[in-house]
Amino acid sequence: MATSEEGTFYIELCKKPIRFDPVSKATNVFYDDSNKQVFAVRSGGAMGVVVKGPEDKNIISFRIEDRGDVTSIKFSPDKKILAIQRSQKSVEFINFQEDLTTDQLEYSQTCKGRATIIKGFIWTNNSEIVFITDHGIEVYQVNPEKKTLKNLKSLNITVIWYVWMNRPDGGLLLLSTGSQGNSLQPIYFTFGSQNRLPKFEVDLPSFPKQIKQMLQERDVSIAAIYGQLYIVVLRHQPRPGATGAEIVLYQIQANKDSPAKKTNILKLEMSGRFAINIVDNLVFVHHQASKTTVMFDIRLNGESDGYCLANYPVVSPLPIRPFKLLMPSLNLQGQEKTEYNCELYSANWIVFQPDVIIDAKLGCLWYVELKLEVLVNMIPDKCKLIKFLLQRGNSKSVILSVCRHMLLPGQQAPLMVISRVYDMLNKVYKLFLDSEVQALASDIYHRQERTSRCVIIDQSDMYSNVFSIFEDNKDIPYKFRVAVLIEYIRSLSQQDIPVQHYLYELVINILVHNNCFYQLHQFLQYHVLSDSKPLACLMLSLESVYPPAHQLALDMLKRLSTANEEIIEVLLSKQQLLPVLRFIRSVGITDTVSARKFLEAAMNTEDNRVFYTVFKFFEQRNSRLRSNPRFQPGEHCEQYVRHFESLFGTDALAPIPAPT
Amino acid sequence: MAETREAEQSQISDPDGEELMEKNAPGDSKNSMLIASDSFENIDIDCVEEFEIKKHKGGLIHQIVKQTSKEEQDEVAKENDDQNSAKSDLSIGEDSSEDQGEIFETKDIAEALDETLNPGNGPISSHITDEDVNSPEWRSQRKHIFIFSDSGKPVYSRYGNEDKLVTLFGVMQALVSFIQVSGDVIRSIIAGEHRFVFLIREHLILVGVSNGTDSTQQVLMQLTYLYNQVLSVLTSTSLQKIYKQRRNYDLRRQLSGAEKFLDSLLNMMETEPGFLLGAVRCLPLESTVRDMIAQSIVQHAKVKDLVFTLMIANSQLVTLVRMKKYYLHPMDLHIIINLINAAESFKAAESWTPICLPKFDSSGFLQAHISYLDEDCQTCLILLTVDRESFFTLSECKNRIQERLVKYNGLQAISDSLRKNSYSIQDCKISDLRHFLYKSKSTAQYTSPELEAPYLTQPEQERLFGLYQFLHQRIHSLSRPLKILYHVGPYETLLGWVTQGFELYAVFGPLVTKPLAINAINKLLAYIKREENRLFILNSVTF
Repeated sequence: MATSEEGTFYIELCKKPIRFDPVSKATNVFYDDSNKQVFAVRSGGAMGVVVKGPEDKNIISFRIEDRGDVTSIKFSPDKKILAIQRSQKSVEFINFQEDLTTDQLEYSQTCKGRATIIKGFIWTNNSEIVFITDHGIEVYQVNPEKKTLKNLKSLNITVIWYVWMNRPDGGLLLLSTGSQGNSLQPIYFTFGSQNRLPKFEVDLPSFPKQIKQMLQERDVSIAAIYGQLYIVVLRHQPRPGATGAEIVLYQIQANKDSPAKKTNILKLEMSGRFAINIVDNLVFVHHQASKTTVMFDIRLNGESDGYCLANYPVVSPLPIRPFKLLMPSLNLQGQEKTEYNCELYSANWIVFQPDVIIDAKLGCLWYVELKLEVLVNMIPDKCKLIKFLLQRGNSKSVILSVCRHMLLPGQQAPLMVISRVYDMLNKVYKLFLDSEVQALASDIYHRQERTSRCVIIDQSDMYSNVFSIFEDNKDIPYKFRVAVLIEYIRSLSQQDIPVQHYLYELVINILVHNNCFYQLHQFLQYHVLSDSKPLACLMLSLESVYPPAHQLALDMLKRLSTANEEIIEVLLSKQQLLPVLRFIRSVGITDTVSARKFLEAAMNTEDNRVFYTVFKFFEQRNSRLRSNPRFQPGEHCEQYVRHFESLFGTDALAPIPAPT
Repeated sequence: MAETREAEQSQISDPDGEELMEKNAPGDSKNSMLIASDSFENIDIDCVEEFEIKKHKGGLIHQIVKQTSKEEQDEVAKENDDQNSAKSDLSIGEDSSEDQGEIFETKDIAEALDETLNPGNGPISSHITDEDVNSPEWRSQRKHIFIFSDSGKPVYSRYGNEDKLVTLFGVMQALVSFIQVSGDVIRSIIAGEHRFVFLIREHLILVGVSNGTDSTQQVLMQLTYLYNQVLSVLTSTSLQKIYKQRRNYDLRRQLSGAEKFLDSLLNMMETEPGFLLGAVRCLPLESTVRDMIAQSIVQHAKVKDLVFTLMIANSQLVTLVRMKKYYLHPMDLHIIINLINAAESFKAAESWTPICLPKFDSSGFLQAHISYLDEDCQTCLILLTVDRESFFTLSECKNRIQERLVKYNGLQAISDSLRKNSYSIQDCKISDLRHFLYKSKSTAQYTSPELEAPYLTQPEQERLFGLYQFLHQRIHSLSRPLKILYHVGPYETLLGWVTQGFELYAVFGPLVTKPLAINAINKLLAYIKREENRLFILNSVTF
């Protein structure tokens, strides 16, 4: 395939599909979306059952007695009990040991009532199973030791069909009731308890002179998008006369008393057969007729009509990248394998939530994947792109590359766009920092799920991945570099994020290399570059090229108020004796400093007036501390006393007060 | 760093916590013998008044003479001709008496004194060198003073030979007259570091050129002193008469020999803060001793027509006894001090010399009997009278006073005080205070401690004087007079404070803080109050 076409496919099937025996007369294939396991049952299990999980290692292989066609087969979440449904009345159970051997002894549970039909069953936790019957649901406690089940609870409700979604803490069961099947009853299972959430109705399109169509099971699914649970309903013809189908999202409300609320309508603008996947919080709608897939991001491109948002595709519908499968060649001898182009959007495809596509005839299970690198070129609006990318799970490197490209000559984005992009990045960054602080405060509770959620682009990422191009690419005008960096610093400051000093250093270096000292001066004076010790030291080193940097550095050290020693050293090195004495007095360390250091510096100035002042200053200090103006022998000031006497005579020494 | 600027200036309006306590000014006296002078602000106005006084011909001297010796008047006039040593134009304020036609030939006293001092020297003073405008030495002088007549004739130049500078004088005269044509008066020119200050008096123009620390006002004050010094030799009456007769007259002929008074006055003004403050310094003495000395004078010098009797030791006033109703202006006192400082000849013998005190009466001469009371020639007694005949009477008085002072150890006390070096700043026991000037306004006297470390060297002392000039000038600035000025300089902190009763200029170490300085000032005022009887002459003694 030509490389130019590589760029046009942003949806892929995973490289290594899970392979299983294709469906045939002898083989039935089941997929348990709770455990994400594929069951290939040969001859009702007598010829063996092969179970494949998402990881290749977990291949479980066993045999069961053939007691008729299996209609459903599912492991408990801990994979210790296998439940098999073969009839409409009962479910059989087989215990599994640790080594995945079975004792081959089945035990069974029938449902209540003679006319009741089991529509299906679900494991809600390791020892709890729920039968969904046409008359309601029955909750059983499984006791594998005794090989018995105990009915815990029953709920009577007419069930037309059901949809189940597994969640880490239990799961959501959605029951369809009512004459049209459009009255939906959600029940949330969690830790052995069942919460009946308020019932809600899905409005069906009404056509005059026509019976309302039933709400079909295949048109309803449950999805978790951005941490919220949604009921996804596909409406083939929403209104009379309307052509395109649409998808309606009902959000399960956090408040248990309020019914699910219609929040989003995804405009498909096509009709025919659709299948839905949720990948990385995006809704993927596969359209069989056109063999394309549309992508929706409910946080993007929304148009509100006051009640709910109408969303449009993020990018135009495009097909999934063609998939080639290596198959053992039938025509040629030996172990040669030939490439086989899989048919995409085939009728054999079955789509499972959230991101699974199974081709039963081919014996393949794929996960749908999103290629962000490709998508980058499809969204020209950088702000929209970054907003989109920030919501994705694994987009860090893509975002950094987008940011980098925005600075390159030729592809340079306007400063305003860059600024808005940085604002978006830093908003997320700030939320992350805040949650870190909170997490530290409240231990490590909630931590994992928070950190895994969003993409964090921190300052070191920006520095080493984005701003590094300033070094590599000398064509970028320095004004633009400074402007970009200042925008970034501005954005950080706006979010109250402490700016790392290497960013400042970068700005300063650029300014210094281009002789923009005045601009640098202004930046420092108006605290665009905030104070830090390393920055002050950098400024001190710039004194030779820009003399005012010295004072700027001193001011900065003073504002830091933790750098008294440095200030003293700097001032002494400049022979600024009077300022240094005023300084030590102002910070209240007069009594602790070493007089010798100051007297030495004063003597080196060779200015007798300065030496006199410094000497008198310490004489006064001595008087205050010890009520004697003389220096103590330990202070090693004898030579300075002698120097003083030689200049001004012994009379000028402060008189020793008479002992009282 | 921004917080500790090198120099900060501020007016203390609300000193935190500490407050300057404006109590009664120490050294205040209701009964002063000197005319309380404020500062030089009103010099200009003073001078204008002076001209007015002159117009009504009869000065104070005339008044005194009239009161006391009406009958003797004729005699006095007659004897004028005979007295050649004392100047003949002692016209007692009457310029109508035209009996001395040859005034210009009479020998000036100053000249006469000069001759006795330096017999080898001619009338041309020693300061005249060959320096002229082109010599770098001449150009680098810190302060030049030029005096010339309004027709441009040179009278005096501090440096260089006037004759060689004649074109320069011409330029200056041109500047003055050019401005005068438009009905205006030139006051000063500032060119870079130099300021040219003009003082225009009747017949005489004085120009000061300074590149030092003095302000225009201060130079103007110095020029006024110089003008007064000229008057003290000539009197305004004779000055007017000279120029009335010959506009083009070369006044150097009259003043030859008096240049050294101008020189010494200039040198004194550069070191002596009394000129700046318009005040005199008193010799610190116990008040009982001072009273005793004053009483000695009162009792033994009860002579008719004796207006003032002063005792001066080392440029410091010991005591002053005056005729009731008449007061001495500090400016005149400075002229007297300059006279005895500049003329060594007074140490040789009792002298009898005419002197005009321009503030007292610029139109006529007083007669001064000058003598030293001790062998070291430290204590000088000056008797000022209007009676030209009383030399021997006064000489007797002097002997009696001397006797009495020896008897009661008065001279001993004076020389003790002179030896003791006044007082040290350490006596005040205020840390960080390095030096100060305190002037009591009502008595026109000031006090300051000895110059001590770090002001031991000549350049340092000059710098200190410059600081005082700066402080004084800022406080008495005409455009914006201040009451209090706190100035942090690179080497010291200055604080100046002027109230109704006193002026105080203090020099602190540069590290002093405002509250500390204010506290120190309050302590200092308390100290001066404690010592005021010693440091000041609070009682005025009259005959």
